[in-house]
Amino acid sequence: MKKELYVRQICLFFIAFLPVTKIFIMPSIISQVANEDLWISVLINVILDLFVLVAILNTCRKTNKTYIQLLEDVFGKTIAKIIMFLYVLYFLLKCFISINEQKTYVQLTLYETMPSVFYFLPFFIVCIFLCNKKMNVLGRLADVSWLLTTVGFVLLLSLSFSNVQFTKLLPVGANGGLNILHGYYRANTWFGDCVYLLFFMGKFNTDKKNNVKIILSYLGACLLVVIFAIFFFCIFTSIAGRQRFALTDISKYTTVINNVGRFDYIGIFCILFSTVVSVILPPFFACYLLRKIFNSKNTWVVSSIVTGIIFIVVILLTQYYSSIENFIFNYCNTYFILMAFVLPILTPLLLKKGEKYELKEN
Amino acid sequence: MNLKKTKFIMICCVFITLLFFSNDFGIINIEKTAIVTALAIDIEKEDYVVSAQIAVPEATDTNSENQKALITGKDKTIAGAIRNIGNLSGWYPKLAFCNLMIFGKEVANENIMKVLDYFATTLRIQDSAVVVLAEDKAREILETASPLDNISSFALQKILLKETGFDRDVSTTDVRAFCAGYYSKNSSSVMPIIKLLTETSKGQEKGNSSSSSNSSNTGQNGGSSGGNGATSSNKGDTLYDATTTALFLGGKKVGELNTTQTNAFNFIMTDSKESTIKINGVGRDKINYLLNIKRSNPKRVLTIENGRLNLEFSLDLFCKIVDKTSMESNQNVEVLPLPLLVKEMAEESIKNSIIDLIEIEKSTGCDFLKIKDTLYQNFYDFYPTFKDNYLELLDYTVKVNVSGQK
Repeated sequence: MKKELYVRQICLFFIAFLPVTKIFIMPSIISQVANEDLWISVLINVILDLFVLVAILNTCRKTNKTYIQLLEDVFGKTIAKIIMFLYVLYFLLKCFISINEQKTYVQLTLYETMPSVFYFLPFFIVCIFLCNKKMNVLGRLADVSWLLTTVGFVLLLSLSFSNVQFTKLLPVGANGGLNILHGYYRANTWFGDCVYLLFFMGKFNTDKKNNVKIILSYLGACLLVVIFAIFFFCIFTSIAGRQRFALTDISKYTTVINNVGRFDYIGIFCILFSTVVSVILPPFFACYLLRKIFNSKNTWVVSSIVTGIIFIVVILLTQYYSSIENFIFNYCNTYFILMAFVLPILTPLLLKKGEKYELKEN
Repeated sequence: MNLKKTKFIMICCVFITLLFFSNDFGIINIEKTAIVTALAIDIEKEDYVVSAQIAVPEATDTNSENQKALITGKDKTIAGAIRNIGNLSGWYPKLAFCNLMIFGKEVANENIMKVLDYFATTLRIQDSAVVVLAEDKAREILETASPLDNISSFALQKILLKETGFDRDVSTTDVRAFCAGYYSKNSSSVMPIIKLLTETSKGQEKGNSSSSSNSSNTGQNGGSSGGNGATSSNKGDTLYDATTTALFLGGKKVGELNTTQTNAFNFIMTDSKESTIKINGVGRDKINYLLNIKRSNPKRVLTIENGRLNLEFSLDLFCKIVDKTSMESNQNVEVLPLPLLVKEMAEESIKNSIIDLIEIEKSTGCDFLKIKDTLYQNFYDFYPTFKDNYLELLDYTVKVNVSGQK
């Protein structure tokens, strides 16, 4: 039976959309507490997400059911809907920081003189449009975006390489375990990407070989994030915690940029294109779950409502951004860990004994 | 119908996305936008005076027009002064292309970070902009013009951001590097000092350099190239010397490195390939040599022994003779072996300069050699013990090896 997504698209999904949201303010937020050990905090997140990925892929190998079907089978429809609703809430909270950093980036760096709400309005139109689509649109976007992400990263990292002082990472672990863990905790809003795979369950064919491919592509994407974090700190060192928009800054110190001009914006625009889709992923999955919860056929209404809620929070509460950001970093991350790590890693337990060896359809 | 609707929506989305990325929503009237190429910051009676050099195409036609492209704003804060530039002129000062910031000498007498921090945190200006210190008023530098560039900031940038093949005689730093130094463990940063070389001072400079070259065997007159012009400073007769370096500790200027010391500083902190060394008055015939560095390998090793810090600087240079003032053979100078005496004089001269640097670091407390950083990175366990008195407990050895064609 033909599935909605190809394994290739799952692999490219990670490469295209996983690294791009983690290069705006995340490195500076972590380095405020972990300093030169920022890469360790990132690595902890990567490893924990890897466990989630392995757990989900392992479950996928043993069943053709979707995550929602598994929840309904085990807990019944009501509890399944409650869990789905918790995920809707998770996605709505998760997208706040990412959308805001994208908005601030666009307004302050691309439109420096008169940042206005209007400039970012097109994003919400694109958001409604994408959230209205089926899951396979993500696969198609991944097919295109992975190249843009890769080109963007290669360009930015190669331009910034000459300014990287790797010795600045020393001494390793000097900031103490507590600060490193604090860094890991603060970064949770940007990580937990493997949770998307929960909702891809049953929508792609997989086996052991394909699982390895997916894991390798995930690790490849994470490698870009870790390298970016290392480059970021080694370039900005003691002022890393103040560099909110690492994406724009990391490559511009090289002599060639001074002489030729900001051609690194080619790479930045490539990454920004992928980021638009990546930032829309949480609302996309929130819409998908809401449609399942309410059995709604009217996709436009659901996507408009979800985007509308995000629009209100992001645009109308701009003046309270700092307070909301603090609230998310200090209080919501525990919830994020529960939804993006604890629940997904328990997925194999949802399989019933007989079901574990159910033959899969081709 | 549905297909048409979807296509229409898709086209709209693509169009909007294009606008979103291409800045077409930007509503600043380009005719009212002043592209600021450099800023000069001075302090006058507790007010910050910011002068912006603006690149207006017409202004580059003649030197006298060049002066008119300078607009000054004054206020109690830097941001206020920049805002006043716009308010007074009606032109929006766009700082995204500002690649140079010049600070007046009064700014360096206070904590310079009071000024620089604004530029480091605002997104209006690139923190890759080069920062320099003026010998006197910063504005004076922007008012000048060089024989080849009517806009002084462009001329200065050519000196500060040299292409490969030029001498590494300037300790160039930008906003990010300066701030990173200030907020680092040692709170130390460096910044080139810009000296104006007009017709009169050029004459003096030549005199000075010839006399100094007799006493000191290495040294360079970087940042200047020939040119005859009119007498006033804005008629294109000014050249700039950026070969001296100001040392900052906690944002305040605490010392200076002269040309020779700046060279030595660049030798040990960066790759000085393609830079040159002058060795003058060699032997009985007083032959002068110009050596070109083909390979540079600076190293420093910090160790701790018996409660003291030992710093070993080693510099390995492979040089070729570019020119010499004797004609004893008709061979190409580049294939000539490096005479032993020249090698020894070069080694001695560079070694003395490096020793000078360490002594300056000890006397000023400005850790421009990044010894404290090295201590933190390599001996973290000992860092609390040495962090406050590392300069007093510092012993050092300097090894310089100059090799050449054999």
